[in-house]
Amino acid sequence: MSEQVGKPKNVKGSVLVVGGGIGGIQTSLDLVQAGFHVTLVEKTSSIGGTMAQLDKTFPTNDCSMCILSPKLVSCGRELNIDIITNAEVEHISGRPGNFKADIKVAPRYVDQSLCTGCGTCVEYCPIYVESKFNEGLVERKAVYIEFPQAIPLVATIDRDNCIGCQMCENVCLAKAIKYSDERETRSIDVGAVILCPGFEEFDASAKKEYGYGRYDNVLTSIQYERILNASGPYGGHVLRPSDGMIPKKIAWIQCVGSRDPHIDKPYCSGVCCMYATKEAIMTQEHVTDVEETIFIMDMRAVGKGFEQYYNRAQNEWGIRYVRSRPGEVMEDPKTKNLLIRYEAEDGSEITEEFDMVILSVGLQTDKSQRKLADDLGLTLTEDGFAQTDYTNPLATSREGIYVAGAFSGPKDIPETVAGAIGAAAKAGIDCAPARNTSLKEREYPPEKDITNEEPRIGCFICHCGINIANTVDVPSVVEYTKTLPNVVFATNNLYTCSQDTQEAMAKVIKENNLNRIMVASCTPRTHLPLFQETLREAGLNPALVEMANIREHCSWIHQKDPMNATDKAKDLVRMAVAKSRMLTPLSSTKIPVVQSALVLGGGAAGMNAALDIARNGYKVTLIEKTDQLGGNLQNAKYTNEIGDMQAYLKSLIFNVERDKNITILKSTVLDSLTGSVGNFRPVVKDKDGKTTEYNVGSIIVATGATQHTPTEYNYGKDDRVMTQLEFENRIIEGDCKIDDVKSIVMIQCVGSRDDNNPYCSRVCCSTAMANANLIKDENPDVEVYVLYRDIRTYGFREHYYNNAREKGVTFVRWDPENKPEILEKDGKLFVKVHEPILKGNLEIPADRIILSAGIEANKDNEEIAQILKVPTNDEGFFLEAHPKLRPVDFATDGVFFCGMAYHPRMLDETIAQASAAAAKALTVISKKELSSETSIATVNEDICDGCRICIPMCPYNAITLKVEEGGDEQRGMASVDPALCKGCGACAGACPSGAMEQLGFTTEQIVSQIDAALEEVAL
Amino acid sequence: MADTKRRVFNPKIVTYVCNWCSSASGDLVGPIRTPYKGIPRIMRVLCTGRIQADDILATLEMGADGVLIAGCEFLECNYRTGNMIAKKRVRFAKNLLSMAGFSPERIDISLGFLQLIRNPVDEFRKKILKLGPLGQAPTEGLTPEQVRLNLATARKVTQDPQVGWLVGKEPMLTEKTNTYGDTLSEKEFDEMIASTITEKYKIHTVLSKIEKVPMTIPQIAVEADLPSNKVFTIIQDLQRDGFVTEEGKSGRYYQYIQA
Repeated sequence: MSEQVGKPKNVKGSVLVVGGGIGGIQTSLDLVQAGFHVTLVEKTSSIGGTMAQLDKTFPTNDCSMCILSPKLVSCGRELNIDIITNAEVEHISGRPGNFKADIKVAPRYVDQSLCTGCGTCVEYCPIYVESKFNEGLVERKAVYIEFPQAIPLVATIDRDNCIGCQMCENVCLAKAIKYSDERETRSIDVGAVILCPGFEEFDASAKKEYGYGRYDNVLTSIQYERILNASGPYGGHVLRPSDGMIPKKIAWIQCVGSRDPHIDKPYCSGVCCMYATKEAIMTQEHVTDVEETIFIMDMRAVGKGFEQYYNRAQNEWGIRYVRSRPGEVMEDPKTKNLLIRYEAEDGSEITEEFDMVILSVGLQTDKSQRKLADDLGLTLTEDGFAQTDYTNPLATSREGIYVAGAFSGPKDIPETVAGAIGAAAKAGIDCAPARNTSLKEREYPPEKDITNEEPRIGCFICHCGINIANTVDVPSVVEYTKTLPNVVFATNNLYTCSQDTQEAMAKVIKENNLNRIMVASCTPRTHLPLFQETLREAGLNPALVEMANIREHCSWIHQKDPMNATDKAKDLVRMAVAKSRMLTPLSSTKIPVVQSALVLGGGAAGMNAALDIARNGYKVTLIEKTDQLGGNLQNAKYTNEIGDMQAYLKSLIFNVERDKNITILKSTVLDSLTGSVGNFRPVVKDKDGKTTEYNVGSIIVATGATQHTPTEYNYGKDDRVMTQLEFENRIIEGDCKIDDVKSIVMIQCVGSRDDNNPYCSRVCCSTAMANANLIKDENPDVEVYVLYRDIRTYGFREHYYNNAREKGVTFVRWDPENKPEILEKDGKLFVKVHEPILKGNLEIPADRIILSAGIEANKDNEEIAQILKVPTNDEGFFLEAHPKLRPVDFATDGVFFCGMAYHPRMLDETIAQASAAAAKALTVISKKELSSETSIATVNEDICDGCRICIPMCPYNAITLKVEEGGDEQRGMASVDPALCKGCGACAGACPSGAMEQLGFTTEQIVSQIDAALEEVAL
Repeated sequence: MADTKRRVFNPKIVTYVCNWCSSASGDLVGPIRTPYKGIPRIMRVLCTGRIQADDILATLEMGADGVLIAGCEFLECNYRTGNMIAKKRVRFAKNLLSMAGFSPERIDISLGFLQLIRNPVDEFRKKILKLGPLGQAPTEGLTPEQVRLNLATARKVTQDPQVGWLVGKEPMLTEKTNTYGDTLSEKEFDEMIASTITEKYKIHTVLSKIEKVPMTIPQIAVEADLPSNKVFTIIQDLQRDGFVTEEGKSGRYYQYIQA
């Protein structure tokens, strides 16, 4: 049981989320799971943000919309998320726990409660307007739905362009057009605020030398995302705009609006190197003979799996990377080809011709984000992003207002998502006393028992305005449906999903004593939950409805063949009716939850995660394998951002130790684990080998990583050679002020980006900058050389790189085929390095050689992974359930991870991720009980012969062999843990005896549908 | 040989006349035996407001060299506003006609109560005489095939339901108020309708080129005398809406044809 502190009366159990991109969506979903009501305010007409515009995501090449749209749908149908679109927050007053927010809502001119999103108005509207969603490459109408998966799926009238001709009103059969709609201001009370307003793309036309806006074939990277997309402007063909040619030679120019102090954008946008690489790779799926060149300054592949992706881009996909920032792009007026003028690394000037040029535009904040900061009284950095504290990266300058995503600095999707999840934990602290007080729940009448009842199927065939009815002869489908066995009622509706039809449906169910429902309309992916809801309101189990998709799968694709479309609709209906005949009620199992958590690892990640959980009011047990809290931070003295790391660590440990909700167990390791989400039973072992069993609802792995011990460059053999960490102490002790230290050489990528550790360790470039800057501050006369492969000071860390250059630090780049070498002459050390500009070797005197040693996964990760039954990647780091949208989750429910156990990261990133893992744990342990999935697997024990084929098939380890106490293992039987089963059906597909069945998709149900599908009928 | 006997151009002119003014005036001409020059074809309608832009273009398509509409004077329409509507229609038709490469002077409207129909008819005839047969004015220079194609394309625009809706809505939007209570200025409306029909004309021009033979964007651009980037966006829009499909490739270009 949780022990929550006394509830102050005025704390609100709801949170305001500003911005409906992936960050806002994710934080909203997690807040609800943690017991808070959410108001999600979005300034455009639908949620989805930038991610909805992207084609694929790096480094897995997942389809962006495919992974986003389930989240859109969940958000849209969540009772406890109020989505307010076309809206902006104007003012927030009050204090943490109790804010009042004024939200200005622009009129939509469409009644959201009546509009079904059928799109007929859009088709008829005569006014064309540039589409922001498609980045101006195509036009939309003055009444529009931004994209087909939009949530809310409701049309919006763009008042600036609408001429008020009433065409839409004329064609809308749902009577949803509402020209009298007015602007309104809503005031809401919330306990905390989370800002996820995202970013704007840099306006490429400001870089005049690249010709954007003047030359047809110069596009921005986000426009190119749309072009790559199958639902984009060119239907997924890569074509160039001047004449529709399939381009042969494409160039990307990086850092357009990034790393450019001349245009006031000195910072690095962090994501462009990877997205350009992804775009180049994806292009090859469209154009097989394309030749691609990416003009880079430095390749900044700092994330998990990024370096490997970059290597594959070069080796497998043959993408050419050229180290140069082009000076100019010119157009051949005749061919519309583009000439890029650039300086090669050896200083020679080259002009090269391309068919198409993509400008990799940076991330910036714009008017809307700045206005938000202004309205809410937030401090912005000099770069125009929300100011945060390095050790409190999710908090803005105003207490109780949190930030996630690119508003506080350029971020990729996983960093945005981790921050967004983490912000939910932070908001939860402020609102903890009012947890579960503002959640709405629907009341349903008791469920009618239909066992032994003959199926009485009610069928509802939808016109969808004219979307279905214009092609499919709906009345004839209704007549046909009436002839099918067990159908006792069939009718047609203008819109089956409209509120009034839903009410009528509930009435019809009762009047006709229906016990199965078949709806023939659109896709069950968006609409099934709605009809399930109606069934529950009519006292039926929600599993008793089946849908036939006669819109997307029929009327929309057979528009030109109404006869056959009608026949096909009948086929689809017959199949759905066949299945509905076989439907049985399904219910989920309630799993009681132990409302406490276990955190493995007492470093920065583990302590921060433990604190967030504890401050949300739940018990945490924190176990640390050594006898000291602090982890890697114990060896760190400072960073670019923090002057005194030990002071931070001290206060962190102090806070953890004095928190009554945290139990600290030092010199303790995890020994074994049983149980599952909500009810784990970890056994821990102390240094004496004594074991103790705990009982927790969730587990967080925060076991950190280790610094690589260099085996090269005379490390360990010469005390003038040391690592950056070791050197930090020496600088503080005044090492670079002594006379015989005149020249210091730093070598980057020691134990990173090589055969043993193919990934980039992310932190070393920034660490080198911190040390180089400090040396120069201490003694400007010391020569500092940084020998690097790419300088990877991503994001605002670019400022430290700029500082170092201004202070006179010399940077020399080397390639892996020309590694630096250490020479010793007359007792003095020299570093020999190949200089690409001079095309010759330099011998740099080195009184100190500082190695930027990389970060390696802990050796005991494998052991922990085995105990927890979670995966690790090739490099030994733990592997997340999904690299983009589930960055702190394991595939195993209830187990999360954060910090360097995930991959090398900066401290601020670790802290944000720790909050994310805490928030995820809170979504489990803030509940008294969890509900299992309904469509789970179940074993027919009369048939199961215990062959065990199903056990390894299960990706969730949900199946065990059940053996009677003291019984013979050979006579065991498969047993499914409903708490773990996700209902994929892999076991049912593998079962040789037919004992394993997936509820809702039983063999009988599937066969009956196939039977109906193949039935020869005279229609 | 043929040069010696120059063929005399006797323009075919259709005059739509209003029942209440010009038609009545025409009836007067008979009894007083005033001859017209040439052979005017008179079409009686109850009100000039009945005539659609498409009727005007159809008249040209069927062989007229010019179309004149004769209606009542300003504020004197027997049905209150029909003459003003006709005026807007004529402006619209002229706009489209010049887009299609013809002289807009081939269409005109003359409003005057009980005017002597003969005068405007004669004056209009003079203009058409000067222009020559349809498509053959110095500014036109179109082959008979081009005349046919261009008029057909222009009529696609007049028959477009969205264009029809906008044209039909003009009086309401510019003289009264739109649904939000605002009034559009005539200039705003003209700009909007002009950009709409320009766009539609281009779209139908592109479509007409790929009715039977698939073509690449550069080929269509030459045929339609439009910039290739414009043709490209039009083709993409048409393809998305299912009016055009790809049919094979030619080098690095897809070929497109009407679906």
